[in-house]
Amino acid sequence: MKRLITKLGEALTEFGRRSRMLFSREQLRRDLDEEMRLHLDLRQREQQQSGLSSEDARCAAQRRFGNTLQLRERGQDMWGWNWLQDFWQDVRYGLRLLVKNPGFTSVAVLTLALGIGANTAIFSVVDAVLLRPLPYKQPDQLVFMSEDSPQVPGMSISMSNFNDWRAMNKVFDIIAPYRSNSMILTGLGDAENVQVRQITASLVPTLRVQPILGRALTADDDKVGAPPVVILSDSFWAQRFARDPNVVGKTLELDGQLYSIVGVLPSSEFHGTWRRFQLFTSLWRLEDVLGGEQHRDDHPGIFAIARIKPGVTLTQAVADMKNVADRLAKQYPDTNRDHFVAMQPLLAAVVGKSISTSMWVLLAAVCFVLLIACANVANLMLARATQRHREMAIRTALGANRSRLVRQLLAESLLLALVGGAIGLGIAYLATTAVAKAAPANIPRVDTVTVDSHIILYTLAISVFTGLFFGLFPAWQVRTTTVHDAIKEGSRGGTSGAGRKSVRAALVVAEVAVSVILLVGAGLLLKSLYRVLRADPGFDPAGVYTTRFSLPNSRYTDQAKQLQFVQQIVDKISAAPGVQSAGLESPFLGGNSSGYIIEGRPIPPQGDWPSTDVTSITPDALKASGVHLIRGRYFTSADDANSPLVCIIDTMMAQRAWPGENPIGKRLNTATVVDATHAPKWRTVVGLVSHVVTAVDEPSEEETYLPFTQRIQPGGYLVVHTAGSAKDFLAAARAAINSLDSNIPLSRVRSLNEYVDDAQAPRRLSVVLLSSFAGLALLLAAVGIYGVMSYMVTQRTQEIGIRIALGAQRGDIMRLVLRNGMMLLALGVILGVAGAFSVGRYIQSLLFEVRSTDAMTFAIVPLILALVAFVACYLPARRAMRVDPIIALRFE
Amino acid sequence: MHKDEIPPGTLYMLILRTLTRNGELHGYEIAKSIERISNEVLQVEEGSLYPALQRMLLKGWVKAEWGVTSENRRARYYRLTPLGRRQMELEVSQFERVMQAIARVIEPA
Repeated sequence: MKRLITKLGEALTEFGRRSRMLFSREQLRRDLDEEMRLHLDLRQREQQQSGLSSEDARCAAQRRFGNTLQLRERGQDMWGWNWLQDFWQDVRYGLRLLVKNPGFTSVAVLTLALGIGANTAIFSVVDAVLLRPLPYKQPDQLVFMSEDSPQVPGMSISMSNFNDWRAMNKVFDIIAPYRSNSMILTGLGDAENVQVRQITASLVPTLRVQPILGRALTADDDKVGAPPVVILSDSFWAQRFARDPNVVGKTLELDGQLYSIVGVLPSSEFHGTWRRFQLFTSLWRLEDVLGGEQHRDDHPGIFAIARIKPGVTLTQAVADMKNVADRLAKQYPDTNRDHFVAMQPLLAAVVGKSISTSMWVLLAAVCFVLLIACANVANLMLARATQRHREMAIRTALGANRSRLVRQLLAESLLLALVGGAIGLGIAYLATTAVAKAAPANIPRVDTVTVDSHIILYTLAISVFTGLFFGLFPAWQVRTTTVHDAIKEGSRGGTSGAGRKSVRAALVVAEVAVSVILLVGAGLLLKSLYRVLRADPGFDPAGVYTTRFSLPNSRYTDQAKQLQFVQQIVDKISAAPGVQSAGLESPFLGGNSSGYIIEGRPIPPQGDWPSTDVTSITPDALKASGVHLIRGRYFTSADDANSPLVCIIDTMMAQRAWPGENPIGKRLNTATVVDATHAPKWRTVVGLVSHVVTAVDEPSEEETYLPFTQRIQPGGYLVVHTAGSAKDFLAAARAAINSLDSNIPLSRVRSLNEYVDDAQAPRRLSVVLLSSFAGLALLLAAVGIYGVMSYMVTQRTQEIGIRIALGAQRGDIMRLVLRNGMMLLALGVILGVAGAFSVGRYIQSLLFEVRSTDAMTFAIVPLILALVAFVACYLPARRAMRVDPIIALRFE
Repeated sequence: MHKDEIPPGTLYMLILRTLTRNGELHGYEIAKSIERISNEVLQVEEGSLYPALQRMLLKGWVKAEWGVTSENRRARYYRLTPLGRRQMELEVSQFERVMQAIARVIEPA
């Protein structure tokens, strides 16, 4: 050890001496010259003393001394900085060469710029979405928690369970529950819906953010029935209060109740969807509504973020919470049997599995594109290296050593790569700016994409890597050429070494193989998109618009009042011009999850009830939203609170509950409390409708619709089928609402088509990107094949001329060239198909109703490639066919 | 008189030893000193002397300072550093070990 340290010390001081010398090279050279001159003089005098003439003595001394220039160089070499000087020389020489060959340079630089640019752009997105840590201190300790059961994975947490988790766990520093809510803001201009996150005092310490004004919530704010307080997000503060520093102490009217403003939180420092929330209020003051034993089986939309104690791993935390869940399951078997605590790192929860898979697939795809670009440039370099063969041979003959030539070629490659990288960075900048603007809202954090120092470093790294990679091929060949061979071969003229040719062929085969993999991937995704677009969403979205409103609890406490309001609004809108049918659904597209039991079957223990989504609807709502009635009837105004309980189910529910039977007239129960004393209240199925999905490629729940009169909600989504426009609908809805209550805001009007488009947006984006990468790959591969084939034709012009002179038919020549090209293609396709087979399973999760070994895709892709390759070979082949033997023989 | 080349690998040792004996010398003096002490048997090639001195500067075995000769000419004088002294002892002991071994091998039976 001690010896190692001494050695290290010595190496360091030696490096210090070398570095000093770097800056005093001139001094070093002068010193050495003077020293050697003195030596020569003294030696000369010695010789003179032994009787030689002055001239002879000088010659003798000089002879003894040898080549002073070489000596000087050896002295300088000793200090080890020559490579730097050489490198600079190589760079300048390389630059001159590149400027002199604008054709070669622009093709190579453009190819690299596209490859590196696409790569950098996608990496920027991957960095922003997947890699960049969340904007909190020690973000790795943060986990996202939800409740889990085999029937309902990832459900929200019941408040009673949450309190027990918090009390019983040994692994968390602190846990922060939260829920999102939409409230009506009045008193500041028009009534408006605001996005509210209900939090507790533990949130700020969990995330370790700081209020920028006032204070965060305290334990007092969390007490049941505490005076209501609100914290603003900084964006809300800026929009509504122009960053008034005296905002603390003022009040906001939310859902008709006055909330005092106590502070401002920096929303820009929040992650993902949190950034969209405008206000924060206390969740815990509602504990009497949400918690307690009677609500243990309610899951009122609460999720939690926890901070793991330092030194505890996620696995340990999961194990501890498993233990907690097991104990609760024993204690409360009715509600908690088979319930678990689901936990994942907060970052993973924010991003989601499918987004991260498609991101990695895209990054892999652009890496493939870059590989193809490299192969193409390597091919160009090799072709040029053949032309420069004699230059290299002569340099070798003049004493350049081989490593010097290799270094020179590598310097040229690096130069090309860096220029390409710089332009690529520009492309990436434009691309990411566009992506950040057009980003679909359902890809989290994508709006934060920027080209920062990270990205610039990445670009630099891949540029250097590509430069070395494609530079290695020509450099390797210099390494293996000998002067003798080079000059001999050169003198024969025209034909290139067998090794060189096989390297170029191998590069083309690799390009084709990689293109096949990319094209197959793109083909599979395209087919999936086609399947998604073709899939039946269960409704007809044309001409359907929605807008949401909710009735504040403070003024609409009574369910009778809520029902009356909703019925009046629906009647008014139905009467509006152009409206064919109108109704209200609450909620819309995916209901509230609820357990159910079926009449005539044994009742499972409460935790094991199958679950269905439940939606309350007014009579015409399903008709208005274009859902197809398959059997039975829609609800009518006769289905009310006093009539028999009825429901409409969708085909998925029918399949699950009564497979193969006609469900009309069957009975079920969706009320949650059933025991010996409460007999189930059976509901009769009166209608069967199509299963509705906006995202056909995502799992969806079976649906049960209940008459609004039998399950009243404080508001919901107005749905109309109208011949008019979205604007007409908004005006009609606005007018209808204002005639009853002007303090109820409406959400933005959305068409049903928008819902569908939004659900498909991420898939479209990845299909568009992957297809363009595959297209780029195809183009580059075609250029590569064309390059190699036309080079081959040029190289063999003489031979072809002779063949023609000896009587070969033009067709024979054509076949000769085509056979060569098609051999490369076939080999590449075989390798590519094998590769696509083996990597296909990685994208299986992104596919929809398409297998990763889809026969059609695997058949079409080679055909496309064959067609493109045929054109790429045909052009040089035609040139070969037209070779004039006379000219060919004079060639060179 | 016949002159012999310096055996490979021993030039550093000879320079170091010469500097121990004489304190400060410039390049020509080092060469002359080695020739004189070896009774003109060993001849120092200038072609190897200066690269060797450069290398030793780099290794930190010697230090160089500009001075003036008795004839008032500027010359670069080399002097041993403590590191150089250690290096010399190392090389000398190694050399002696090898020489003795060789002597034993070639001594007549």
